[in-house]
Amino acid sequence: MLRTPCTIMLALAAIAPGCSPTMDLPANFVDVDQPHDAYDLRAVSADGVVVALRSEDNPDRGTLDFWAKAIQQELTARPGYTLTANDPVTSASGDDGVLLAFDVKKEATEMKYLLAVFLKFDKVVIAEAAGPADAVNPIRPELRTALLSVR
Amino acid sequence: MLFTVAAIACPACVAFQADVDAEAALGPVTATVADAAELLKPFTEDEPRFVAIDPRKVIYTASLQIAAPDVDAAVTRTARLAESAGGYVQQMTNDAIVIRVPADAFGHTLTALADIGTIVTREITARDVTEEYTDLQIRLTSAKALLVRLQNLLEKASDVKQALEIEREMARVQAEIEKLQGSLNSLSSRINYATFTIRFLPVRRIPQTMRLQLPFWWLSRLGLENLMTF
Repeated sequence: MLRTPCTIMLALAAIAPGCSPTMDLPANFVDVDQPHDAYDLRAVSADGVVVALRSEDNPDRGTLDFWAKAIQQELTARPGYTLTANDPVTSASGDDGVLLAFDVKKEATEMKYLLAVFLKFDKVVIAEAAGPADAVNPIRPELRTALLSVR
Repeated sequence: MLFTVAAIACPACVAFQADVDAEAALGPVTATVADAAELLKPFTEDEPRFVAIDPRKVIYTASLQIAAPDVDAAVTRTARLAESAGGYVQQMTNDAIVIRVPADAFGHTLTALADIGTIVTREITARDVTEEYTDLQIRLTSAKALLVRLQNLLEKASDVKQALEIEREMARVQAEIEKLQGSLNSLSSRINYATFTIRFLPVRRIPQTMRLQLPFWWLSRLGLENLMTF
């Protein structure tokens, strides 16, 4: 997906159709720009924590409840995924959203996975953060702030 | 004499299949060469020329998939089962085993395997190889008889050239006898011992509920698997 400057749109505190969403990165994360990626944005820290942002079409205007539940059902059906939190949140730009948190067991590694979902016009916007538990736990508040900075 | 000339001129024309009339015309067999005598054991004048045809020769094989809670223990139990039945383990890995048991223990072994785990898939074949076995026996008998005839001819060879040709033919027939004997031994082994090829599967928890897969492909792309793959 193409990323285009959205400065004017930010000033209006809204995202116009055709403009990709964006989010603030936590400190010490490096943007990994990969063409033809499914993600609008993806960044990594030195100790293996990843944050990402993606948006998907919502032409039939599914509600926030619908998408939050569909995402939760999809992930909890997978082996190793355990839902630990399901909280209503509000983004920095005032959009209602849902923040889901999971513990994920991958072989011998305990992982943490956070996912925030928002609706923006005709898009479902999903912000994700994940990494080894011992790398995520110390910066969990910063990751939460980053996920809620979606605009 | 006429036969002698024909045999030397056209060794390939000598009939390879047993022929009772030709056999009778040659008279009694005398084996004088050490190799020929060795190859003809236990084939002597006192023994019948043609072996009796057994009523049935069958190769039994079974290929099974068995679900078991403890795969290691199941493999070990199967190995012990084979040995107690008078058989042996041909091949063994972490989750698979090939055993051979006497053919008359085939049914009993199949029943005993059902106690080790749940048989998920089963493929059993019983291949009747009576014709193939009989054919090999007949061909072997004929080849041995031909070798004896050639030995007799060799003793009567009038010159070196004739002798060399006969010896060449004898070497070819000896090689053929060894090949036929090997085939017969291999077939006998497969007839006498049934083969079980078994793969063990760990018992899996069957999900209690079915869930509708929503028609939004990107849902399956969420999660760590894609997020953390570059």
